[in-house]
Amino acid sequence: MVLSENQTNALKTSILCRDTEIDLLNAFVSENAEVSAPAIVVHGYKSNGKTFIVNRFLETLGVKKTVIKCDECITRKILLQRCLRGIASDTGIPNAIQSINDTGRLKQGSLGESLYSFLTTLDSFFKENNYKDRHVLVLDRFDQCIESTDEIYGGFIRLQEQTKIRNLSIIFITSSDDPKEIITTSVPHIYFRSYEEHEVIQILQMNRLCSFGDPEFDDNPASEEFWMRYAKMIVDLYFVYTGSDMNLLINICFKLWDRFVEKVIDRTYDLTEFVRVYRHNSSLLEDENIINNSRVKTVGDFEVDKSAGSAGVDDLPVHSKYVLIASYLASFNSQKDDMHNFSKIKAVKYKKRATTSAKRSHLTKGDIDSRLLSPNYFDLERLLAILSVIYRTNATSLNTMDTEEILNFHDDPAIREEKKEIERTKFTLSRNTDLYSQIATLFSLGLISKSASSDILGARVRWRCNVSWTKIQSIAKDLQFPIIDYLQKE
Amino acid sequence: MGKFDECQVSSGDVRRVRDQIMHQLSGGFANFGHSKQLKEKFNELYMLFEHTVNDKEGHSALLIGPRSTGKTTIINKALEELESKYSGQFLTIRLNATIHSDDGIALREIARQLDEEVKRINAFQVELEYQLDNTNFEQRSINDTFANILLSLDNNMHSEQDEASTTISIIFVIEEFEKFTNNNKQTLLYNLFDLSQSSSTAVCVLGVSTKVTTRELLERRVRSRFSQRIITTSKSSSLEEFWTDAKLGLLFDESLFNSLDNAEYGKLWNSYFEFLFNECAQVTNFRKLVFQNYYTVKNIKDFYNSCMFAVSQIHSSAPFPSDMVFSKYLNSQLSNCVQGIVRSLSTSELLLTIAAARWVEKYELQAINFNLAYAEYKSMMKNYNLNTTSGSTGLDSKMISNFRINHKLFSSKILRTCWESLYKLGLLLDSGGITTNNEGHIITNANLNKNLIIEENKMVQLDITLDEISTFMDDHNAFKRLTKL
Repeated sequence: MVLSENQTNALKTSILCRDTEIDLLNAFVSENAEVSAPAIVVHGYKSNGKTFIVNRFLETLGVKKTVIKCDECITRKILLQRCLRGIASDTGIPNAIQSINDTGRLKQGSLGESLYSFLTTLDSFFKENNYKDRHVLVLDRFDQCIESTDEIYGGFIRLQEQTKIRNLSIIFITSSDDPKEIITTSVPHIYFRSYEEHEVIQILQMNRLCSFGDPEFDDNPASEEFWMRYAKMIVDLYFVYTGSDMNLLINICFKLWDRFVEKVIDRTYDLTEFVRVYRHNSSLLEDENIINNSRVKTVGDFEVDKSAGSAGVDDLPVHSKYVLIASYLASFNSQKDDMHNFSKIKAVKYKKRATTSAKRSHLTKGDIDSRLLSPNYFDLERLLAILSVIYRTNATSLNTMDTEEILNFHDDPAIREEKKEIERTKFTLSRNTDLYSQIATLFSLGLISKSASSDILGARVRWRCNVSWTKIQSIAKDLQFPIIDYLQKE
Repeated sequence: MGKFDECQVSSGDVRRVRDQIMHQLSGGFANFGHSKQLKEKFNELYMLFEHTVNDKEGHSALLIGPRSTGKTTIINKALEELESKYSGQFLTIRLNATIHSDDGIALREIARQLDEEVKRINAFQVELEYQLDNTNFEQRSINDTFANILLSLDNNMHSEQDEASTTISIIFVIEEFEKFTNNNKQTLLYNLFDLSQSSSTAVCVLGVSTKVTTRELLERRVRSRFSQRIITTSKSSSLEEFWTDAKLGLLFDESLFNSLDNAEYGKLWNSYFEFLFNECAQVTNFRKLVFQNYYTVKNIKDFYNSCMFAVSQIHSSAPFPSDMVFSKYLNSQLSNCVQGIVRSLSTSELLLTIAAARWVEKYELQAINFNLAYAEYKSMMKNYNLNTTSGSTGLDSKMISNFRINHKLFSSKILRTCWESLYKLGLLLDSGGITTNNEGHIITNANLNKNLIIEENKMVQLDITLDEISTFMDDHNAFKRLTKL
């Protein structure tokens, strides 16, 4: 028997806006295995009540069911094992799990090694125990198993064709399109469309999720009204971000409730003064962190974190900062523009300018701000070359005009200047500081990373900057280094 | 509609009819005996099997046809009929390449089914030479298993001379046959076809496939052992033919009329669909459904799926399915999955998608990352907010200038989450993951939507263009004009 009309109506009043879907479920799944489809696919994007409704429907139908959460399974084998054990324990046969384990081991060596062994184990289990009860296997989030399940999809659908099991039917719950393996198999589909905004409000208003935790408020009829307005407010404020994703909305409801009703509980405002409570909390509601699910904390997010700061970057030694900046420049500038960016030779600059000034109508790859792309790998030698150029031209210790020097009237200022100039051109950092250990330190701090080759001494090890633009900007500011001038630009 | 309204039917009858029809609709092709085309194929197949079982001839054949054309149904029916006629004289081994994915597994399955069948037939006290010292075919080692099978099939040769009547034929039914041709040696197929030709045990190998090129996929050695006999099923070539075939699943078998309290109901039931299709004055949903199915997919199973809902709705006060509900299943279906995804997007996700599509359009590059999309989003929203206010000129401007409606600009942290959910929904694909080879086949090596974390600067491909977004959006959506560059 399918559900009676009264039962479906009861289901429809408790579950809003899903009448068609419930009717369709009722048509394809029934207590009698003979008249229901061997497999159906329930699909719909985002969380919009698929699992909930299927579960409620099967409960109302009163058949034995096994629900497997496939997204919790790492491999297909675990998925199949869970199915077997789940089905066995839900049959209500005593020692069922023991029995299915034995059957599996005896026949196949281990349980659920492949779809084939899954089916044979299940088949013989059903036969040995003479299990004839109607059973529904729900494979929830079947497409989200960590190992791809496309290959076993077709096999599951043909379960009744290939085995003698007739009382088991399968409901797949997925949130993506059908893979090509099953697209031609004509399995009935039930599509759960996404909710409209007014439906979302209706659904949230009907289910009172949060309570005041105080009978004085909770028993007050005004609390009902309060919740209604609260739910509407949440949807109004966050629907732009959440869309019809019920899980997100419910989470936000829970997240804000305690802080929102604080002033009601300490009796500053009355239950009926919703607007005043709302005004009081307006700053709380506008905070973007409510909908930010990122676990990465940045400065200023929380008071506590302020002291920790952006660990490890600001207190680096000056030379390390230069290395970091050089690595950023090497990563985000293309190698062929190095002459243009770092050389003093003017000819190159003019030449470059001449070619780029020609007007082009369409935007090309070159127009993309390289800072927005992923960093490129570079050779260590390139980093060192860039480093010595930028250090020589910008380091304060090298470029400050020694005022005392001018006052000392030397006999040969020209010669001294020349000497100094020679010294400057010959200057490399590596002679003075242990650059390599600094680079190694930066690497161990994770600010620079290298290509996957495990041999550090290998010739083809390439490096990459791991620091974001904002961070580099603050370092450059710190050193008064005009980094923007060096980034390639049109 | 007169005669259908007047019919008084008991609830028991309605239940019986509904259960029967639902059973027909959810299973294979019921009543196919009335279909001329399938009946022919069935006879051909049955003859083939009968020759194997009765005359002890080895045979091999391929049954080729598109999905949902009744291949498995006629096999099942033929085997059923054989079972009633020649019970105990043959064994059936059924393989399905989607489940028995390689030769090893397939072999184990053959051994297992042989064991089972032999046990079953032993129960009928048929004397057998198969049992080798009471051991099973299935052994720990795959080589032993295979040797066992081959040996026992050969052993049969000697016993045959004494009592030919007790020998047992074997019918192999291999579904998704073309998948077994994937490994280059095709050992299993070679041995099976070889058996069908040389073994003294009568062996029939029937491959079932949807690919017309299946025979060409066989290796030369294997093909030479194949009998070249191909039985094909096909989809209906005309609407009338389609309707006569499709109708069969909805009809209540005349032999079951007696089980009804009111036999008249059964008759009326059978004429009801003819009435809906042909005789009804106005265009019925049912007729539309038949037409739509015929001119799009020609898939009878899909047609049955759409009828199941209507049939399940009948009850004693309305014993015939209402025409209105026939379209319900199809209407609730999702016609285009990308459209479905776009519909399910929240506004912020939609804006980000538009921004990404705009960027792709501007630069004519395929790959995009979050940083680029977000930069485009920022400039797009800035323009949008400017235009919404400056758009109101003239008289209204003074009134409206007080209400500056600015759409909120989300921070990149928030939109990162949106970007991730776009990736999970499948709107963004791994870059370089999808390519076409020189034969035009699409190769996907992208582990789609499996990578749960997507970096800001990871390049991905957008699975939708700006034009498509604009067609999917409602006209009254304020953001629609963003889809024009």
